[in-house]
Amino acid sequence: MNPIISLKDVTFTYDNANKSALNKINLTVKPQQWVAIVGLNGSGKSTLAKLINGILPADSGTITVAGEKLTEQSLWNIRRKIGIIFQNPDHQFVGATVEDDVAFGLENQNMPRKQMVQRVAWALDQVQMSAFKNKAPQTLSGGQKQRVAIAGVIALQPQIIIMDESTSMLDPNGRRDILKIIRKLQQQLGITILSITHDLSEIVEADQVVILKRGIIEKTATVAEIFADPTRLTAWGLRPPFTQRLQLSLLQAGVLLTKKYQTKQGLADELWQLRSKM
Amino acid sequence: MGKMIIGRYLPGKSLIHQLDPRCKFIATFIFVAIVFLANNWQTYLALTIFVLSAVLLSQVSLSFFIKGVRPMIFLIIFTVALQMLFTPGGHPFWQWGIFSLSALSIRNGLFIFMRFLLIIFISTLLTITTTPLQMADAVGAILKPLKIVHFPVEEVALMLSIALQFIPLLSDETTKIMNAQRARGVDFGDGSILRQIKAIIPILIPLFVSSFNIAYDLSIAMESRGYQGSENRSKYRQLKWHFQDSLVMLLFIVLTIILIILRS
Repeated sequence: MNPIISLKDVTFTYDNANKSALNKINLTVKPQQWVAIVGLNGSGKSTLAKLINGILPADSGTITVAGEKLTEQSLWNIRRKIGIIFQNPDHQFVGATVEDDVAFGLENQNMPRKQMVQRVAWALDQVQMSAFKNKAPQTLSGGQKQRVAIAGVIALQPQIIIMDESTSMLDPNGRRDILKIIRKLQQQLGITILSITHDLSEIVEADQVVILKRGIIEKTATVAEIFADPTRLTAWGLRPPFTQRLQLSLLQAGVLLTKKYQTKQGLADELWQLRSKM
Repeated sequence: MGKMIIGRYLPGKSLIHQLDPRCKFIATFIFVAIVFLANNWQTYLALTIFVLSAVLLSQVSLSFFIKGVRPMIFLIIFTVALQMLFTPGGHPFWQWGIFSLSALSIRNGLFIFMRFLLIIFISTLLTITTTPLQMADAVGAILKPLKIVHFPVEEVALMLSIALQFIPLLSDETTKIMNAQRARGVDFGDGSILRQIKAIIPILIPLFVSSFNIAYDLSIAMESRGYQGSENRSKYRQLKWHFQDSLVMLLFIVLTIILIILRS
């Protein structure tokens, strides 16, 4: 299958910076995959997203999105294929009401109003926000705001959604909701997801995890491979899940477990057995 | 958070609330102009009856309109006093130096007072029954003819509407910054005027910085959703001119004619 996003030797340096934010990045993403991009602050995660949609121009290298090379001419065409959900839900609303905001991207495409009305209704229905269509975005909760932002993005029917730390300002419930919706959209509409994140519950959803470190790709792996090495998680800007942290501490305390556990239940069972042997 | 009401809009479902904002805007302008046609008690009576029935129709309590007068009260008193004391002519029944009072000057003062009251009432009616967003839309629509002289009407309308909805966000931001500065020991609202003004600086600078950050974020969000300027954009939110709006316009023409007939 042809990759939907491919970066070849992409380098980018910010003005006034003496080191490149991204250095010769090579990355391919297959269609309909969920790829998580992780790394410490300043590793170049957000820069990567901005390069893919042409907000920042790469110094060298080529970026191809859905078979189209990113150039000044193809820029707006490519932006149509990519939707971005940003970190701060308050800083991305243009419309004064929920439905107005969802329509903003459609207005930019000069879509006839009749079609817009249908699209907006469809998009709001996908994120279960139809009941709020006349509300002002400011009156919604963080999770609801991000749902509206998702609706604004999917109304444009993009092939790719980039989540730029979109769940980092949400509470656990809001985060769970958003991930559930994104997962549903990925499966039903065949959208490719690129999620830039620190959050493990978001990484767990991914088919592929790309670890960035100081502007280069340190490792590309599956979720299982990443979690198999809990000692490294912190170095990548991730906080290991409770089960991993506990196993690590037990190991350091000299308690030998028979194997590595991914689930709480498995670990709990082993701990019970250990206790009964004591 | 974010529940602040901008302007003085009072939600309602009255006939006046349902009028097209463009109609209300134009009607208010016409009214302010034709108030100056009135020059005797008949014309002022006609205008007063007209305004009071509009107020009644809006189903908004009269006290809101009276509140609208309050910030203007000094200007009104001053102007009315000037009018009364300095109008020459008539038989002065009180005189002190250059000041005089006559039946004519009292009449004039009273008319000026009525004129103020009517204008304030009608503009309050506009702001109370129209959301800030509708106002922004109406301004955009009314300015449309300026496109001929290449005035960026759509941009201005979009700017207005974005500015309006960022007011609550910025006010939240201000509260946050004030609290942060209070936590560092800045004392607001204490000391001499000079000290109080100085205390505003540590609020203003972070507020500017954060506004620029928000603007930067928003511009990126807009661009990634395909915003390329206001050329070739369709419009989702549409104003609808109903029969009732035409009727209101007709009513204003009738009112103007009545005023012209009644004025002396």
